[in-house]
Amino acid sequence: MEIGGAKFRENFEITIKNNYGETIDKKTIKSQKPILSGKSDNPLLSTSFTLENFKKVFYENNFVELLLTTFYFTFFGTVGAIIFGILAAQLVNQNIQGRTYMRGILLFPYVGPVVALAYTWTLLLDPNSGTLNALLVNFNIIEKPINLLGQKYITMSILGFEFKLRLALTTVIFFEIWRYFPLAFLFILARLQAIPQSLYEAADVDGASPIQKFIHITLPQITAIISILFMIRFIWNFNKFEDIFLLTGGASGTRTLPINVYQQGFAVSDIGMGSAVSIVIVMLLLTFMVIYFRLIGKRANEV
Amino acid sequence: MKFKSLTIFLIISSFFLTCILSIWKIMSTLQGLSFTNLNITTVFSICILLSLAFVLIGKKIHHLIKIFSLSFLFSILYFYLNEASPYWYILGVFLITLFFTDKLKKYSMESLKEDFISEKIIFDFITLFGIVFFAFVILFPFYIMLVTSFKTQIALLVNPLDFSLDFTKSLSELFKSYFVIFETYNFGRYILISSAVSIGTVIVTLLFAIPAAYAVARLNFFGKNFLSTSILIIYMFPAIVLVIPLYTVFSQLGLRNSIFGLLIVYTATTLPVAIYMLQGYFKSIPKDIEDAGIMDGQNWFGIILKIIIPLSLPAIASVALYVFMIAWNEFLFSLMFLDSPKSFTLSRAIQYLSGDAETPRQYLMAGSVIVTLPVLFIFIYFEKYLVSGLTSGSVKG
Repeated sequence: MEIGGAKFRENFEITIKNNYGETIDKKTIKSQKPILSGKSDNPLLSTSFTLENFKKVFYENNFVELLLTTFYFTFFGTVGAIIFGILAAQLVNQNIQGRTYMRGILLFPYVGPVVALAYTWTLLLDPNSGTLNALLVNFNIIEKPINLLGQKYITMSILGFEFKLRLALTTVIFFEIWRYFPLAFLFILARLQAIPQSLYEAADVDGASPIQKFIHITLPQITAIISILFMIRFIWNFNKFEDIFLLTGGASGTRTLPINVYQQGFAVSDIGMGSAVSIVIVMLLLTFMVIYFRLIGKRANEV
Repeated sequence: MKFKSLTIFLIISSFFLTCILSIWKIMSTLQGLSFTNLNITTVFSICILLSLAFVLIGKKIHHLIKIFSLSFLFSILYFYLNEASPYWYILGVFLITLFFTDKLKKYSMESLKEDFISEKIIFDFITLFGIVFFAFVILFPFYIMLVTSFKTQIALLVNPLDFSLDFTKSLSELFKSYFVIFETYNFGRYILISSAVSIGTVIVTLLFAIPAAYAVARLNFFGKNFLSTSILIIYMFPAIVLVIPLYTVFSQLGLRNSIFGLLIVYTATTLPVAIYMLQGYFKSIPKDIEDAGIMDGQNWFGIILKIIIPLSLPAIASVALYVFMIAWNEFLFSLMFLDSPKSFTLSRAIQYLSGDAETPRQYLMAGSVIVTLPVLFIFIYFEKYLVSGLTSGSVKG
């Protein structure tokens, strides 16, 4: 009988016979459960290896774009977090009321669970009923809602030059900065509080302006901690998975290497490919670490 | 020179006040007031008037009388130049202006002649502005999270700007989302699992970390340097790289979907940090005390139990809190290893909830509040310990 030739919603009967040519009753078939069994070698214990996966990683996986996105995300996330960290530390280090409370509040994004914060941001930025878009439309700042997490590019024109901004990636970077500047803030604040007050008093006697004091006293004192923070945060941001996964799932131009590990290994269920991408990450990381210990490893011990 | 610093003073201070008033307006819009225009130019010009009046009056009137009368006049002007608004909104404007004029106290026509006064003005107001800005940017998402959990999906779709809470409703109506996630989504169970995993991780980690840190700090043994550097290297090793090998091995061993498996992974990832943090503290304890212990005939375990642990309780507390925080917030491993709702942790449960597009957002936010609150409470209560924990060992996350 040919099932493929059946018409739409056509009924037909299938007769099943056993090896002796007797027809089997429908009820006996239903009463038996199908048994499925299989046997295969344990892939972890086999000794056949292949470099096929690495070839695929480098040639069939948009590797250049993947790498560029990862670097873009990592670099701007790190630099942004450090800049905001310096600003916040500079603020809190002054004699203001409620300084300890301010320090506590500033650390909230860092200590909060990433799941809760990421979903709150998705809600906030939602184009249809998100608060941010609704506010901007309400005050006539934009005409129609922008899909901040779902749009890959946005065209902007500044001074007559038109350029494309990677919108979703930028939003994710801002989330990253928001969540991790507290850490930079904490380290820089600890360093700022250790600067002897006499340095500033001497500068006052010499008639230095606030900007001069910042450039000539504060900045040299915090360069060591900044360089350490930069390298450490760079390595951690390079491996960041949860934040991007929860915000965009790696869609609309936010696919970084760690997201790719997940997509290859679990979404496509190709454990081999996932592992190959992981190995690439480890190789890149080892390179960073060697550079890190060459450049500032010695200085790290002094702080 | 005086004219230049006066202009800078007027512009910067008015800019600051305009920003605060705009934030106040945005927050009131979220309470259901229908403002559609920020009126920045109008507000900015009356702010300039206010600052100018303040400097011109100088010290002729008592400070308190001056700020009250000026703020009062400002609020009336603001009321007439803007769209109709309820009294509580104008009261807010009055209080903001009062705060602002009080901050202006040290400025007068005389003080504008000082050296570098324009830079000082800029620094002063940037500080004030920065504090308001940072507080707003950080607290706003938390505020939205909390308030959304008390609203309903329909109300939010009709007017995404109305976050006002209706307190006339009964309590059970107001906390409906929380009842629902506990009853139909089983969040009570997830809280228990999350707490068990986190507290278990803390206990197991400390059990291993204290002797290990003591060994690294005090004892001399073969390969000690190698061990202490490898601790740091393991610590820097990314979780995303470990996930695939662990996944395959755990699948074979049947450790997926089990709390025990999660406990192993969490302990393994937090142990290096804990050892690193503790050994730094142990090294700072004077060795003489231990020598005295040895004289009394204590062995290593006696020394650790009777001397080291009592002396380093603050450090142990901060390590414990830090490890608890990592374990409670952890998401990656719980996403990979837990598939059945029977063994979900809180983070994984919320992610599972959001996977269903039809889950109303207030349930999602109620879940988020439940997972966030314990951590924030612990953080606020033990801030001192946690901050020292964060600075001494942590770059993780």
